Amino acid sequence: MVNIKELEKHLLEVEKPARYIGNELNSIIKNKQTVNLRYAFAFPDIYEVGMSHLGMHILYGLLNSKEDIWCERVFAPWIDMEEVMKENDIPLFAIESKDSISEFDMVGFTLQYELSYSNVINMLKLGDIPIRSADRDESYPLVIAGGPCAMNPEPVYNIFDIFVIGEGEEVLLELCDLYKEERKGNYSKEEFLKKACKIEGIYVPEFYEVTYNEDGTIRERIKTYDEAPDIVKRRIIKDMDNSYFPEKMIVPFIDVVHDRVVAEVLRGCIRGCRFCQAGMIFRPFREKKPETILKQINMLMEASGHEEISLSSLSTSDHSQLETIIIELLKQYGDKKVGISLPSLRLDSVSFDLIEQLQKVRKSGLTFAPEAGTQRLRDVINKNLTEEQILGPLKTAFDLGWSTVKLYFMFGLPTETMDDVYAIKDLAYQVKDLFFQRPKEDIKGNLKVTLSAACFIPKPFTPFQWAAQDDMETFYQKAHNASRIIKDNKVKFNYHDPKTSFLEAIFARGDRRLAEVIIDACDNGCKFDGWTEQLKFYTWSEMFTKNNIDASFYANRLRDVDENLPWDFIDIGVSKNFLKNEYKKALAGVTTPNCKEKCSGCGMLQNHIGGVCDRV
Amino acid sequence: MFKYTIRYTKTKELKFISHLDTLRVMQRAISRLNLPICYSEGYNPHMKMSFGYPISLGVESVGEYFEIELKENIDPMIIATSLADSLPLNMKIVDCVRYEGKDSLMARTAFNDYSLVLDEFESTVEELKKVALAIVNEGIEYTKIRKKKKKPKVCNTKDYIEKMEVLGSEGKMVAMNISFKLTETGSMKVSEVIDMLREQGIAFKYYNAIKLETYDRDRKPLIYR
Repeated sequence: MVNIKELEKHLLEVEKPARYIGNELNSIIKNKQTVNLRYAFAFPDIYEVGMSHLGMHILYGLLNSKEDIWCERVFAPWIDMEEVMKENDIPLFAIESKDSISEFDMVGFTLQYELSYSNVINMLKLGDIPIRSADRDESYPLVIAGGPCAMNPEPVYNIFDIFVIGEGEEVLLELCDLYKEERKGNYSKEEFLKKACKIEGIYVPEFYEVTYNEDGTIRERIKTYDEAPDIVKRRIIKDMDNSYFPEKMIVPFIDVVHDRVVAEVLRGCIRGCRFCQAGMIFRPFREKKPETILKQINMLMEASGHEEISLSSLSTSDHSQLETIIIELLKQYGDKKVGISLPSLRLDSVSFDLIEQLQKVRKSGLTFAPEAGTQRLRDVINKNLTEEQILGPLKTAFDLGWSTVKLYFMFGLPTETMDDVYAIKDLAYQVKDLFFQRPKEDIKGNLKVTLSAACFIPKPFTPFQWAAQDDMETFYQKAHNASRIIKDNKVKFNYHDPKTSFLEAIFARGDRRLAEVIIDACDNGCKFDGWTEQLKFYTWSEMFTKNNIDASFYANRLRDVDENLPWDFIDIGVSKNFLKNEYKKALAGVTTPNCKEKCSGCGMLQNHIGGVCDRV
Repeated sequence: MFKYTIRYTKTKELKFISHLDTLRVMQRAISRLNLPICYSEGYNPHMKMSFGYPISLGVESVGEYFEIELKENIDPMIIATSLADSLPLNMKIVDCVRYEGKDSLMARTAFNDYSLVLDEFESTVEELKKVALAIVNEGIEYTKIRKKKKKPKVCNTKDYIEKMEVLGSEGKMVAMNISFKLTETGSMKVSEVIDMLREQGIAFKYYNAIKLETYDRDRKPLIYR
């Protein structure tokens, strides 16, 4: 255990000391002498961000539901706390036991965001754990990783011993069972890894090598352990109703990003928007039954007392029984002043009857994501939304009293021209006209339209995985052009930093040669790269140069569809041919219907998972 | 409407959660218990719940109070026991009574008693006793730094500290009792006392402050049986 007296003395010197104390309601304390496996769930960002991550709550509950496993949490200490820890020799500790993470059996990171890689390395350093897998023997914890970024694990291949590919609810327990079994005898890390790599969904990077062509693309992947699988298959949960979901979730003391009961109502998405990685890597669309959802919400509300319930998923309005669920929730919680929030709402299938009901309880702003200003570009990205489908529901919303609207867009989508950029302004002004061109007595509230433009980042396992990202200069140009012509005090325009988006694009589609760059950057002080004030972009540029890496090779290069991609060894269930086809259709501006309308043969049907594929 | 005064403790690591965080913990506990609490009117209704003067971050307490207003008359012991089961480990419910009066908790508060333990103490008990006497009798002047562009204020310790007693020492620890007065011009914080002790030459590495009780003008605890 770390020196608590020293720790407490210094906690008053840092911002929000409650980040580091633990002991929250529903946190789990076990006897470390009597458990067989100590697992540290590591979220590579600060407490407030990590505690808002539903995945952590699920896996924390899952592992702790096993009597002989104790799962604790560890978050990245903020800059001020890191300084305090270094000055006083306090190693990185898990917040339940306050034990240093080097004392654990496994340290499992969730990779939600490419720009958290430097934080991962920093946390290992703070925990006195060697960064590279090859430097860790049996006296150190196993360091594993999962999450969406694990779909392309290669840029951090030499840091982790194991990657978990896909949904973790089953495979993580299988991995832990294997570990416990191996620990009974003479434990050898090498032997354990050789057995682990045979579990479906487990990737052990050390059993493979990669060679490159003259032009920098990948020539070939070679197995160094012949019993390792050639292809790693993504793990997918078949039965969402009986899959583990916690009955209690930890209630933080301090304000976190999402301070509410989060109910996962479905997994996957039917829409097939071509830029969206989540929509592809979580196929097929699988709903939970209303009874399951309501039961889970009731237990979570009883265990927490939160004031808001959030129905979370990639596209909640696609749940076939959403209306039933909301009516039931309103019946139970309406008079208890509990708000019900529906993030990820799709414009076209919004039932305004429902929305009006929700409005009576708590009023929140409306958020929609048209992503592109013109119909042409929306068709390219397969965001099947016509102008009428955007403006129609908005008019209804305004008539019902809403006056705050947020619209998400992206710059840099494939085939985008300046006309498409300007069209964002046209759309925004149409929304404004919609609000004001009504009889005066119908106009309630002050209109506030916020336009938020992100920079498109091509991601692995999407039809756009071969696309070139716009270079930073182009992004700045587009942003300034849009900014210049949006001159209305009711309309606010903001855009994401192209520098962060450029870095994200490099790592999203990076390969093994980036690993040393990331380690180098961390050694030179890079951390919290996703936080604008902390990003040391100049240092990153230096690191690329120092390691002879041309960053734009990864981000801005238009790739050949026959190129070997670093993530080709992973089978997510959706075929590469489908993605190629979608890419061709995109460039021709041809749309693809959603999974409920018509099966487009992406490959999931052959995997016999069920969900929406069963309708075929 | 029925008002209840509840006494609770906030100890160990909970000294690092703010007053606002504490409020939220109580709100959620009450929400979980489905107590028939009254809500305010208006667009954003909130629970009718009020607290006394906040303690500083880093200070424990065994004598904290808050009040709630319920729609029904419920046995105070039932409120106390059900709340007690619903709070984090180091927050305990000590007592609960019906309150028939009209004054807020803050209006009723006049004195706060604290226990202060100095750890890795490097001066002598005599030196400390001398400083304590000076603080309470002649008073020592100090400057109160204020937030938000307000001018710093010159204050005197004897306006805000009624008693300061050195109880004794054991090994490297020295224990004291301090009684603070809450006046119209405010009061003194534990951290300001710590700074003052150090300025007066008292040396120690760590300290632990625990609020023992909140008293009204007649020197009676806010819940007095």
